[in-house]
Amino acid sequence: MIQLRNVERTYKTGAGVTYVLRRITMDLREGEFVTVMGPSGSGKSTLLSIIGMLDDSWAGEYYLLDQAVHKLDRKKRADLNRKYIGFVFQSYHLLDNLTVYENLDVPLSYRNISRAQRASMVAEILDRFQIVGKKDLFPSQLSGGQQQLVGIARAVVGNPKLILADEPTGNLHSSQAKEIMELFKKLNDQGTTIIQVTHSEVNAAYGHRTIQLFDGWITSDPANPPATSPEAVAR
Amino acid sequence: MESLLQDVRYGLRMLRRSPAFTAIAVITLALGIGANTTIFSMVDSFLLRPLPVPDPGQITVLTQIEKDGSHNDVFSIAEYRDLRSQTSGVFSNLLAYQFGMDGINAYGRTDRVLTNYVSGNFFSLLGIKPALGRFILPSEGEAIGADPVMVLTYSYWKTRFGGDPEIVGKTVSVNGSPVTIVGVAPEGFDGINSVLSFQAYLPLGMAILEGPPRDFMTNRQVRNVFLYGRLRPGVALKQAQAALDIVAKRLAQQYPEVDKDRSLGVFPELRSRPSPDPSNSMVMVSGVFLGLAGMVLLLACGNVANILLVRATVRAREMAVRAALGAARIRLIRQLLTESLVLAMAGGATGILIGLWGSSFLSSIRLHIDVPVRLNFSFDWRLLGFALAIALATGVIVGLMPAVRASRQNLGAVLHELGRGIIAGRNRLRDGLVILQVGGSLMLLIIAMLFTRSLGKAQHSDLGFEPSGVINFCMDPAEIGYREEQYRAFYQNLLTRVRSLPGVESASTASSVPMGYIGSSDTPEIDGYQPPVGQPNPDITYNAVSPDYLKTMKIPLIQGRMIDDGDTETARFVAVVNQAMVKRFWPNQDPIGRHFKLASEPEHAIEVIGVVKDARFQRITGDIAPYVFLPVAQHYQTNSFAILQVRTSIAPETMIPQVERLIESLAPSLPVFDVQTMTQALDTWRGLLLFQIGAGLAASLGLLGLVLAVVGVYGVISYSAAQRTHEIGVRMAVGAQPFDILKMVFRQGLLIVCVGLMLGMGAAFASARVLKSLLTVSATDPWTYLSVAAGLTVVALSACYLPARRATRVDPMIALRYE
Repeated sequence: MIQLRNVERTYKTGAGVTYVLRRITMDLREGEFVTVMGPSGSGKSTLLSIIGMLDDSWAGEYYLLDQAVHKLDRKKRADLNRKYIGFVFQSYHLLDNLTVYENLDVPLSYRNISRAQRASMVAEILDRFQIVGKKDLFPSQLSGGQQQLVGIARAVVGNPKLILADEPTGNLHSSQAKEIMELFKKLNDQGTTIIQVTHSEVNAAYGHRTIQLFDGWITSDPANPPATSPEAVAR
Repeated sequence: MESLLQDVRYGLRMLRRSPAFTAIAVITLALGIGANTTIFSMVDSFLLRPLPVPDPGQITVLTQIEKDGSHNDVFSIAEYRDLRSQTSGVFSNLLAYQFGMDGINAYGRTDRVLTNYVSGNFFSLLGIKPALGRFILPSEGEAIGADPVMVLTYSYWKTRFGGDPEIVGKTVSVNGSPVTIVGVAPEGFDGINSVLSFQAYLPLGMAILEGPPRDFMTNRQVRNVFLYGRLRPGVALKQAQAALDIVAKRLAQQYPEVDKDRSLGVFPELRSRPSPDPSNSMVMVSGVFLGLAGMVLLLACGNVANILLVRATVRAREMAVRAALGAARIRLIRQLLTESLVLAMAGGATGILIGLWGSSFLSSIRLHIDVPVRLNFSFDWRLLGFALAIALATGVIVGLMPAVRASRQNLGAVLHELGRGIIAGRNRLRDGLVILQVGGSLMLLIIAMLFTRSLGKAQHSDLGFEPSGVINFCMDPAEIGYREEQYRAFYQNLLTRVRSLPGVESASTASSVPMGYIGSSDTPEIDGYQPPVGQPNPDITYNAVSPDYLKTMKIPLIQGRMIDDGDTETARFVAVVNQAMVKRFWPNQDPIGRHFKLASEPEHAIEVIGVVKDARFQRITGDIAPYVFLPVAQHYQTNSFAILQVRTSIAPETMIPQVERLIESLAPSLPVFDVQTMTQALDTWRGLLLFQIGAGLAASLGLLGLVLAVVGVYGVISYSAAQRTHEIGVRMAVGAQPFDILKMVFRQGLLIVCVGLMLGMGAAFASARVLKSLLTVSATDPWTYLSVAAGLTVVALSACYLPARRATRVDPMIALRYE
C-alpha cells in the first residue's frame, strides 16, 4: 500500500541544514497496523505528516496505492489525502465552534458528497461509535476520552483506507487509552490500515510491527531491515 | 452552493461567538462605509442622479464659449429661436427656461416662490405627463404676456394648496397679475436644474412679470434663458457639436455685433451640473471629498485586516485541522473570505444606517436663503448599490490577505504547536498596515486643519465693510402687484419710518447683499477703455443702493462723494465705484468725472462721483472684481426687489419684530424673506458656507481617521507586547529594568509612527496641492504640517503607553512558566 524510498526531510537553519528524516525506506501492506516509536525529536510525527501529505517539503519517492505521490502537485496530493486518509491527533483537534455532528460532517463536506448522503454517513458513524446522544454538544462539553472518540469517528467517517494516529492516547488516562486502542484494533480488524505514533509499549503491542526511529533514521523495522544504518554511514 | 451556505452559516456563528471582535469590526467598517455613503449621497444627488424623464441620456445642455475660452450658459430668446430652427437635424427639439422669484397670491396670502418661465415645448420635449390638468402648450409663451397660465409642481400643489383636486382652472395672482392654474406636474419632478427646486412653471412670454426690458424676447443682448436639447435617437454628441459649430459661424456672420468670435458647445446634462463648463469645480470638490472618505474607509479596512490577521494566527490550528481533514486551500480561503464578507455586509448594513443619518443631516443644513435649494440626499438604488459594492470590496480587502496567509501555513508545524496554539513573532504586514494608517490619518488631519484654518482666516479677513450690527430684510413689492411709482414711494416711506425707530443708526436699501445669491451685472461701455480686439465689454457687477448705504455698511469713502438724496431720477446719472474698478479701467488717472454707459440703459451716461475702498461682495477669497454702486432712485425701473439693511446700536435681531410690523403696516401681505443679520447672511455658498462645510466634513473625516489610527497603533503594540511576554520575562530575569522594557516597546511604536508620518506628509502635500484653489491659506503651510504631525505623534505614542506600561509589569516567573 505504501512504499517510501530514501525519503528525506530537512530544515534550513542559521547554521546550515538540519536533517529531520534520513533516507527513510519502508513498505506497508494494506491491512497492517504499524507502530512508529522513538524518542522525542526522532522524526516520528514528521514521518506521519509526510505520509499524510500535510508536509510537501521532502525529497525521495513515495508511492501510495501505486500512485507516485512525489510526482503529484499539491492539489493532487490533497485529493489523495481526502480519498484515502484519516487523521487522529493527540490533542484531538476538534473544531471548538462546531458540534459533534458538525465536526463529523466537516471532512465529508470537503469531498463533494451530497447533503443527504452526508447526513446518512454521519448518522451511521454516530450510531457505530454510540455517540448519538452527544451529537449536539460542543467539544468543550466532552471529556478527553469522548473527544478522542469523536476524533476517531471523524477520521473514519469518510471510510479511509489508512488512519494516521499521532499519539492518540497521549492525553488520556489509562482506562480511556485502552478503550481507544481497542477501537483501533477493531477498525484494523475490519480492514483499515493504521499507522500510529506512540511512546507507549502497551499501545505498540496492539500493532503488527513496530518501526523504531532515532535522529531521523529507521533503526529497526522487522519487515524492512535498513539498507543503510547510521553506523554504516559513520563507517 | 450548499458548501457556500455552510461557510456563511459558520461565518455567522463565528461572529456570534466573538461578540467583542464582531462589534469592533462591524462598527469600524460601518464608520468607514457610512462616511463614504454620506459623501456619495451628496455626489449622487448633485452629479449622478439622472433627470426623472424618459431617456435622460438624450438630454443635453448648450453653452456659448467666448474667445477667451470662458463659458456662458445663458442665451437670448432670439438666439434660442435661431438655434431651435437651425439644429432640428440633430436635436428633436430645444427648450428654453429662465428663473424667476415671484409673489403668488392665493387665498389672501402671498408666497414668494421660485418659478420657471419655460418655452412651450418644455414638457413635451422632456416627455413627462401631468399629474393633473395639462401642461403649458407648444403654442403658449411665444408672445409677451399673452398666456397667463401656470403649472404647479406636485410638492408646491400639496403644501400650498393642500393637494386640492379642483385646483385646475382656479386663478391666482402672480406679481399682481391674474394667472390661471392649468395643471400640476408629476410627483418627483421639480424642474431640470441640478441645484434649485422650482415651485411653478409659466410660459416664457410671461417673464414680463419679472420686469425685464420690454424687448426681452427680441433683443439679442438680453441673455436670460438656459437651453436644453434632446438629441435625436442615434445622434451622437459629436454630431450635435458639429451642427452647432456650423450654426455658430452662421450667427457670427449674421449678427457680428453680438455673436462674433463666439462658438457654441453642447454637453450631456449629467456633465453640466451645475453649469456646462468643463472648468467647474463641482467634480473636483466631489472627487476630493470622496477621496478623503475613501481614505477613512482604507484606515478602517487596515484596522479590521489587522484584527483578522490576529484571528487568523489564533485560528491557525483550526485551519490546519481542516486542511488535514481534506479542505483544499481554495476552500480555506473561501471560508475565511466568506467570514470577512459576512462581517463587511454587517458593517455595510450598519454603515447604510450611518449614511442615512449623515445624508439627512447634510440635507438639513441651512443655507441662509429662502430659495428652495435641492438638498435632497435621499437614498436610491445607486446609493444602496454603492454601499453594497464598497462593503463587498471591503470584505475582500480585509479578508484576502489574512485568508491567504492562513492557508499557506505549514500544517505539520501548526499541528505540533499543540501547547502553544499560536505561532509567535512580529508581523511585518501588520506593522505595515499601521504605518499606512498613521500616514493616512496624518493626511486627513492636515487637510482638515488646512480647511479649518482657511475658515478661520476667511472669518477674520477684512471684508471691506462691517457686517456686525446690521440686519437684512428682503422684499419685492412687485410680487404683490406694485408698479414702479408705488414701490418707489413705498421704499422712500419705509426708509424714513425705519430711520426714526429707536436704536436705528442708519438704514438703506440695496439690490444685493455681499455673498448673496441675487446680483446684477452689465457689460458697460467705459470711457477711455477699449476691450481687446474680439472681446466684448467686461462684465461688471453693480448694486442699486439708496443714500446712506455706504454709512450702513461702513464702507470707507476714498475719494469724491457718496450717493445722496440729490441723486434722483431727474438729476445727472451718477455712480460710486470701487478701487478695483479704478485700477482696471483708469489706472493712475483721476476717476472722478469719468463716464460709462450700461448696455441695458444706453441712453444715460453715468458719471463717477466717488471711489470707495474695495469690499468683498462676490467671493470671500480671490481677487476683488470691479464693482459699481448706482443710486437706486435712478434705476428703480429694473429694481423692484430690494434688501432693507438696518444698522442698529442695539442687538440687531431685536429689531426684527418692529421692522416687520412696520413693513406690514405699509404694504400688507408683502412677503418679507431672508430676514437675518448680515453676519448670518455671509454664511452662503458664495461666503463662508463652503468653508464651513469643507472644514466640518474634513474635520469629521480627520477625527475618524485619527481614532482609527490610534486604535490601530494601540492594537499592534499591544499584541506585539503580549507576543513578547516570554522575551520580556527573560530580559527581566537577566536584569532589565522597567524603563528598559518601556523603551523597548516604545521603540517599535516610534518607528511605526515615524515612518507613517513621513508617508503621510508626502501624501498630504500632494493632496493639498490639488485642493489649493479651495483654500485661503497656503497648501504647504508649514505651521499646519508641523503642528498636526506633532499632535498625531503625541496621540499615537500615548496609544503605545498602555501596552508599554503593561509590559513593564510582567512577572518574569509567570512569563517563563507560561511559555
